[in-house]
Amino acid sequence: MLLLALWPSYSSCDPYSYGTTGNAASTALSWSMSSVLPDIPGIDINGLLYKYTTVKDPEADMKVHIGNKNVDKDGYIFRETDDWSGVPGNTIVKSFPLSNIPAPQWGSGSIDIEGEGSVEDAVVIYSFRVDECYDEQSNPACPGYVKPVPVIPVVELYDVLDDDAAMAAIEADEFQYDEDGNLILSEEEEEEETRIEMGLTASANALTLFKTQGQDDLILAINQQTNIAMYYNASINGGVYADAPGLADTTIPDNKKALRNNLAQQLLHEKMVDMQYNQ
Amino acid sequence: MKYSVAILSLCAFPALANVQITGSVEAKCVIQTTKSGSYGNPIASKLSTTPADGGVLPVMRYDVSIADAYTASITHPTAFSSSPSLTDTVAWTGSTSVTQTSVAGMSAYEAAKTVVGNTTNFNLTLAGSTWFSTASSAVYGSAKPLPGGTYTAVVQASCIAK
Repeated sequence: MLLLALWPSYSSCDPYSYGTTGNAASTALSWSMSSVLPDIPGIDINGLLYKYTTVKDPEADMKVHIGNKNVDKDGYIFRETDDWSGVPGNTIVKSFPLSNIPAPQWGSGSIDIEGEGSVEDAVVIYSFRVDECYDEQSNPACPGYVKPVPVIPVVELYDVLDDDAAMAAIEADEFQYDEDGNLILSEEEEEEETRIEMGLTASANALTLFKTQGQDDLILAINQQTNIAMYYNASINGGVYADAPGLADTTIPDNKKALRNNLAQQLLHEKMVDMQYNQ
Repeated sequence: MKYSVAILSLCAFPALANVQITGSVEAKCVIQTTKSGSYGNPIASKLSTTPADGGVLPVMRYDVSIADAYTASITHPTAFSSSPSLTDTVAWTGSTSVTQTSVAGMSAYEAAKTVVGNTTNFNLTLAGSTWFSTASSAVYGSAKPLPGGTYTAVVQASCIAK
């Protein structure tokens, strides 16, 4: 009961996780550790297991060397030799506990054959330990973790009092201030300000009036609402349109009434003309 | 009456103390079952652990920490430990061989093994682990179909000190 109570706290304090690689010799009898181990920092190798089957003449001499080169210096960081001389071939399995040797010290690995015979079905598996706190900043639970402070950008403050040009400009003119510290402007300057405001207002109105693009869009939108489809849909029935009946050739007699009327009109016209000339 | 006898006894003998001596011996030869076997039924009258017959070979591992001190003795079955009722004889065959070693020199065990009846003996001359597998087959009398049911047989493995 006590053990169960203590176990979670112990587990949460353990900064290590453990794992095993795949078969390093799955494709060839030599391999690089970078292709076998996961690409994360803080890995220590704590075990190695290999298995293979030899095919050989029982009388023949044969040695099989399994090892990893040392990265920093000559020689091997791990080396094991199986002497199969004078014995028949068989399958061998060996496992080795290792004292957490850092992965960067492990060079390329290989299975080398010395003598007559061959190796089949080779399996080489490394077991490793990952220090989760290798980078103490990777986890707030790691000892030595320092809460990161965001980088504050340095802002250069502009102090007008240090600006000689600004100070010179201020000192050049005499300004008057009221009791509240507001600048007292002269009547001429106030008038200028008013003119400027009017100018800005006029320009704003002008801009509004000459927004031709906006007006075009408005007109286009209105036109789209106009239904002129009825004109396009009108149709005229087909058929033969016969000539209207005409007048037969004959002599049309003068209209005497009209003649008399025309004469009266003419007389009246002449009378009016004469009146213009006081006749 | 009993009380008086006890008092007399205390007076008659000098004081005694029993000092216990304890010791523990770790096993120097351990047998582990690596894989349980199973029978395949390639024909109606036959049961076999051979993979080609659909069976699985049982595998045992001997871990020996002292060289040349033990003999591995493995007996393949000659009877079913449980089976349906059989009315005819069963012909049994079997063999045991070295399948894996932890030392290359152990592969010589296979050539040096001795077979006595149904028992195969290996002289464990090297310290380390050796894996043995046992093949077993049973053929029902006169090629009669085996009755339906579950059949169980046992491989007996022992480590005998020399």
